[in-house]
Amino acid sequence: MDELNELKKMWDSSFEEQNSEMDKEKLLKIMQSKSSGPVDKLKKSLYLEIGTIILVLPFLVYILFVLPATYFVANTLALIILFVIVLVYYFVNLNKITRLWNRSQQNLRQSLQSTLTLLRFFRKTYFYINIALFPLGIYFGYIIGFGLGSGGKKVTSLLFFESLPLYLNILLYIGIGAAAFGLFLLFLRFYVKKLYDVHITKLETNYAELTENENNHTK
Amino acid sequence: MQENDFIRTIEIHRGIIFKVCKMYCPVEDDCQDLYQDIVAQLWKAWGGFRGDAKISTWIYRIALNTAISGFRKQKRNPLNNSVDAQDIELAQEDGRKKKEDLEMLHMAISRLSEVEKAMIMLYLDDVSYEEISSIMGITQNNVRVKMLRIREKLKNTMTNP
Repeated sequence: MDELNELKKMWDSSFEEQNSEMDKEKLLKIMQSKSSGPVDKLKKSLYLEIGTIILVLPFLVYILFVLPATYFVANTLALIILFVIVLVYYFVNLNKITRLWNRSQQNLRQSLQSTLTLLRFFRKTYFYINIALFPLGIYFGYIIGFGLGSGGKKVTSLLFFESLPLYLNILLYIGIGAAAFGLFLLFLRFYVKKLYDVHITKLETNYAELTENENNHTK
Repeated sequence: MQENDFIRTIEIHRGIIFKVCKMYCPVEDDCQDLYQDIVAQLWKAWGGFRGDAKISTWIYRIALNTAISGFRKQKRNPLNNSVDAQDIELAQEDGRKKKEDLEMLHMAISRLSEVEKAMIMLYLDDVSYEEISSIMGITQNNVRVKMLRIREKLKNTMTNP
């Protein structure tokens, strides 16, 4: 380790001149600012989702009054229930994240492990919730959109091409839905990769490197 | 009162935060972002500091957690920016040899992985193996093994840049 001991002297001297005093005002400003750690970013994203749901819910309740026909009421109610479930789910996760903050005494290994667990969980949840919401969104969008414009007519009377038989219309609808779903899936994969995967891979590499040989040693 | 204690602690240990920033963000803009993040995280955690570890160990722990676990995009490749203007200024004062050695040291360190950077920084800051083990969350034996490997890497890079 002699070479490393030599480096210690060099190391200290390379920071001596740059280690100037800190501005107190600047420090106070930073203390009041929001940090941009991974948990903060996840929190922000959850607040955004919660905000969107809260904004959409009154609109759905409004639809209940505009469309008194039982057919639409049942569907809109189902959608409201679904949104409320998602909202509760988000609040539970927000609570989990907030509790994670209290574990700031973690060492690097624990920090990497908990950040990884959290990110993997959010990645999976985000991906599958969006996949599940897509067909439901199309279905409810169809019902509500056409319902609002048709004054409560049955869905089967609202066909794309009235000259075509019903089964062809349904097939066409399924085909368009499948193509849209394929495109959505491609976009979702790209988005999730950009949002989570790059960071998850980096953390996994660091964690694997840190814990390498650990099983052979006891503390 | 709490704010004043915190500011005083940060002032005393500012070198730790500064070194972590320099180590992980050689580009000034990134460095400022990371500095703010670390101070913000330290302040958030300040109320939870129980005093069962040395304050410097606690700062290292949070600073390294923030630098390594954070969602940061680097504006440029650190490999190409390991030596900044201040290093060069310093080197001009102390002579060419020192400048070259410093350049070589920073270049060699910049080629290490994020985990290795943390370990060598702690080692060069004279942190004991016991503390390194506590900050990193690995056994002291593993710290020794990794330090040997890092020494070899640094030696190779510095002799064959």
